[in-house]
Amino acid sequence: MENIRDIDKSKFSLVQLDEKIHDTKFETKAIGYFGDALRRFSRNKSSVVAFIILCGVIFLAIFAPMISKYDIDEINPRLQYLTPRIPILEKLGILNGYKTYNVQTNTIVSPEDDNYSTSKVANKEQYDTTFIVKYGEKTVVIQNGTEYEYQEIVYDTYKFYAQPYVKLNVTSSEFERLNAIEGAILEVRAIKGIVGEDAEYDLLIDPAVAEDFSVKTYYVFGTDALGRDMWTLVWKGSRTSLIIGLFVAAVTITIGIIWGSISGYYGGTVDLIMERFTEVLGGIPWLVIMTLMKLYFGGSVMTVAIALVLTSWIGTASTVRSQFYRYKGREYVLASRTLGARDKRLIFKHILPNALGPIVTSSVLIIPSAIFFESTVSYLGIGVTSDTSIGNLLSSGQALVTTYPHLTIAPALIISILMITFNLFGNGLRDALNPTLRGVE
Amino acid sequence: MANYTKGEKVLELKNVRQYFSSGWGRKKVVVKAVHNISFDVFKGEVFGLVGESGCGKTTTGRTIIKLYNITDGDIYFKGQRIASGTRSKKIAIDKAKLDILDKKEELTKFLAETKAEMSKQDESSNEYIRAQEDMKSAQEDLDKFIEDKKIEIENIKKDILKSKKDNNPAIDFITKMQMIFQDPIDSLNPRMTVREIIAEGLLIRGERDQEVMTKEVERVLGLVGLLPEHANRYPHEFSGGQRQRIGIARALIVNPELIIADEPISALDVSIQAQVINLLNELREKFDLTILFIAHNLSVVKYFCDRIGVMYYGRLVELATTEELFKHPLHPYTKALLSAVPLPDPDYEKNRKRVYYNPSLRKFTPDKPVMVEIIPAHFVYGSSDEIEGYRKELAEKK
Amino acid sequence: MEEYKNVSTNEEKTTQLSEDTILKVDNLTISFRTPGGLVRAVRGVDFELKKGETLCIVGESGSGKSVTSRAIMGILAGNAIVDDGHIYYKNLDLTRCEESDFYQLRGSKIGMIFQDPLSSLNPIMKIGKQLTEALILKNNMHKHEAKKKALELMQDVGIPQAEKRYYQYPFQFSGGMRQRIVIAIALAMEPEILICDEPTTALDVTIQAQILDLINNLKQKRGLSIIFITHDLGVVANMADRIAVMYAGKIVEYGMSDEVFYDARHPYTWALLESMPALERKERLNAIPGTPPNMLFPPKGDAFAARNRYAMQIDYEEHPPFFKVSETHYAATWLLHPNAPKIESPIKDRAFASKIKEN
Repeated sequence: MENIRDIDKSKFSLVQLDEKIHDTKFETKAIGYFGDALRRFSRNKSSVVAFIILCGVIFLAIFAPMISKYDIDEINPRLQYLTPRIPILEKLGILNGYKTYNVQTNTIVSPEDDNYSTSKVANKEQYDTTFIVKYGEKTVVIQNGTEYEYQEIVYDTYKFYAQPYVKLNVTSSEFERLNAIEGAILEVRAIKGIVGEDAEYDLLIDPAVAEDFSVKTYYVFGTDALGRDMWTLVWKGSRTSLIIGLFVAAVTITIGIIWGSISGYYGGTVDLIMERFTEVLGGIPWLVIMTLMKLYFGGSVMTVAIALVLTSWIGTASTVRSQFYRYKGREYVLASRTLGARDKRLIFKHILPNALGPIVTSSVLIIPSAIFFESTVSYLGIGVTSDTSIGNLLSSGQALVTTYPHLTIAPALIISILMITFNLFGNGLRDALNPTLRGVE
Repeated sequence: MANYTKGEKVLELKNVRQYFSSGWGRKKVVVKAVHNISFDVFKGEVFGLVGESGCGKTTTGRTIIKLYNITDGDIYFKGQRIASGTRSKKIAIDKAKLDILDKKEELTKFLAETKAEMSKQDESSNEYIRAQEDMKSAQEDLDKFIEDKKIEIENIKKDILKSKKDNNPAIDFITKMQMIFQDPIDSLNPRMTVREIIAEGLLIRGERDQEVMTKEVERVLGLVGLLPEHANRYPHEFSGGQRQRIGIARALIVNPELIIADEPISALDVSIQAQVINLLNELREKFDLTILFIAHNLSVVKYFCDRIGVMYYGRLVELATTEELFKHPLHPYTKALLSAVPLPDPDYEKNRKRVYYNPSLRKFTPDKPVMVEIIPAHFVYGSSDEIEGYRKELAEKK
Repeated sequence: MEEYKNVSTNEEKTTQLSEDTILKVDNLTISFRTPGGLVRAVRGVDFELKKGETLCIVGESGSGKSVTSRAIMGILAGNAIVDDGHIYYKNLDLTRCEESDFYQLRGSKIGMIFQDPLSSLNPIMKIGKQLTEALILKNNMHKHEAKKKALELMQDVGIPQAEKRYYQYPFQFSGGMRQRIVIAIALAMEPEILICDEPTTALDVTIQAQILDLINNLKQKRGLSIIFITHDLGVVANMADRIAVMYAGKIVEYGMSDEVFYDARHPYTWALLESMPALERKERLNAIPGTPPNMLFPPKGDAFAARNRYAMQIDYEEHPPFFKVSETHYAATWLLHPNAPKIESPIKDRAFASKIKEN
């Protein structure tokens, strides 16, 4: 700074001796509650990523079953237990549709052998050498005094699938169509009914020719015991689970808010009675409720949903109640009372908007726990039986988890992703909606 | 400081008690927050209620504005009773019933005794006849007594009904009394804009016209020294002093006559306190307001209030005009409070001796202490011995 | 002076202070990183703490007084940056010290007490344990010795029935008592400097008086040097030997207690004194209009200009340097420039209580 003595004298004139000084205008912009919440949420990277993944999962759950080219209502036993095969990864040697079996050496046959039987190969009672990619170890097992020799083989299940197979109950029109294709029908196994209009045929056909089938079929998650595409099944199951989750969350919030706000706002005797009631209700174990409902109402999606609502509304009501207790004594609520506000206004305009944060968060977090619960009960067999659900898939896959692990991996993967992303998202939501963090960076 | 005590009474408190009880039976805990206080507030004055934390001044304020249900005593606002507690009345009913039972027992005993006496006597003797007459008159006495007591109980019950009715005054009337709260952060709803917060009073009254509300909000914002563009902001963007001014604006928009200011400046910086005090003064002159100012800061109270009541653990211990209280403090607690106030004057501060109040040094006296008017408009709380002492003290000073 | 273990005697960290100065703050500049930008909380603060003296730092909320004291203790928030400046304690520069260095200093050399006694104490630990904790851990005292010392401390700070209360929990004490315990804990390790950050703001006025008396007594007995932070000028009058008035991150007036109260030179100090309703005055309070500036956008020139009745053209352009009023009294206001108009202090003729009382 230059020599202070040299500062111009004119600068020393008083400028505002008698003016009235006002508060200054604000230099920052106004942000509403949700704008502020959005900003806080977007700063939490893991929640944002979780949210994006979650959206992806939900999108797939809605649309994947619709656009899938595999019809899951069609049962093809021949296609059963195909292992997953994914286009690019198969070149790396994993997920290439191969399956390792340990079979008796005398079941390994080649097409030239005398005891070669197409149907036996089809039923995997015999193993065709053309489909064997690699030979492993030989072991000898002694059972009841007899020696059995076992050979480990790596079987190309997709190649196996591409071989001729039996198509059952083909309609006449379908038969005509196939007949028209050169080389499609290898053998007519049986004819039911009168040849002509409404006969049905059991055929041995060459699918490669008949359906323009290319050996390049990819089942991303493999197939299940009935030959259905696991990918479609898993997404259909997630859809069921999500529907249950959303339904439960919506109904639980509604009941919870109504119950909790009455209990929390009025307090005193009203609260006392309501609390005792919920305590008694909350003491009934969920397994009992679930089993009873299954017994009386069957295994539909609605049954599980209602049972879930019955067990989880208490938690939400409790959260709402405690939030009401926390906020009803606030000075701005008191100020409103002195202005003459009635209960309705106090509850909906003053207490609920501020109390909403934890309520929304707990509601969002109900969804993954509902999904998990549904999976558990379906797995145990007392849940959804009329429809596909993740629990069902896990349950059926569980029996074969050592031989065909791909049946369990797919649904387990999806449910894990669902749970983790929902929980991360819910956590981010809780911090974003926390009013005490408002204006505090 | 003008004398307002000749004017009309805006607020009257008579024997107000506020108790908070929790638990039942043996575990019942009763906190006697306000323990029998009575005072009046006159139109146009600023009445200061002073005391430290826990003395019950905030509870008093909230009871007056009916945020709590009053336990006992009566509160009158502009001559109309707005709050009435029924505790003492219920106790009176219980006592009357017990009296009846006692009297009945007495009579039964008397009759038994007399009968025993009579059985020893001859039927035609005078004693016998007199005893019979005694018995009859005793019975009559009892019947009359029960009659009277029953009438008494009926009257008390009618009183209770009337109290309950008075406890629900019309909204238009009761909102002529408004409150300013202590915590500037907590007294504004963080989810509402300033405009919504201030206009709430009008909204509750049924005002729906947006233009009218905007105009009123701007008028009131101007009164408290804020700009119209502040109306669209959220509370967290303002400083403590500004928030407190928004609270004042909220109270002003319904044109109140009495404002209860519950420690409005305690949470503010010292330099901002002056702003708010000046504002209150200005508004008081402009709108002829009456203010009940609750505080624990004696220097502010001295500047701002016309009359002061000092509270200590639920009781009023001294009540006088500001000048009188500071010139002649009589109650030892008042003296201790005054001596504890720090002054921005180093010479004075470093050389002064403090006075401490130790309640356990009070001697126990058989007569209950009461509020006594020692000289006109100066009341002190004490037993008769203590009052004597105060009178002597006052005489010496003059 | 003991030697410090683990303290590297890096050239940058050391300096020499004059004999009677125990702490020197030199051009301290601290900013906070926030999503809204850089908040310049402290913008070049200089002061000295002399041995055995009480320095009061006065200012409103947001003036930067708490941040300064936390920088001395090394407990600034995570998003704080010390842009510039030094804090010299004995032969150390605290701004260059590591956490391990501070570990040696805190409690044993520099103690601190905070505003809220309730949150300063661990609610689930008996206070006896809290008192002896540091003694046992840092001084390696034996448990019995530590207890004896703790009981002495409790008596020093005026807690009755110390033996019995040694085994009680914080919730069993009143606010004033808790603050006494906090003071006892702060003094357990016999520090030389005690920093008090608004310790009586949350207390009733009678309790406040007692605590202030207590602090003054302890200062005499133990030869403490105290930095006392507050916004209440009445408390300052009671406690201070020397005063630093802060506004918007800078010191605006600095001097001995008598000088600042009876001969204030900065308009902000005038405004503060004017706005306090002292017990004997009856005139209208001259409140300071407006609000302190937002430190995200520190104003050019003198930060107080917008609220200053006596603001001049130059106040909006250049920040004033410190002008000397006496050897010990400095004020940063252009009004002390030779070219400035002669403004008389509006509180010059204030009737002070001491003078009234004499009548």
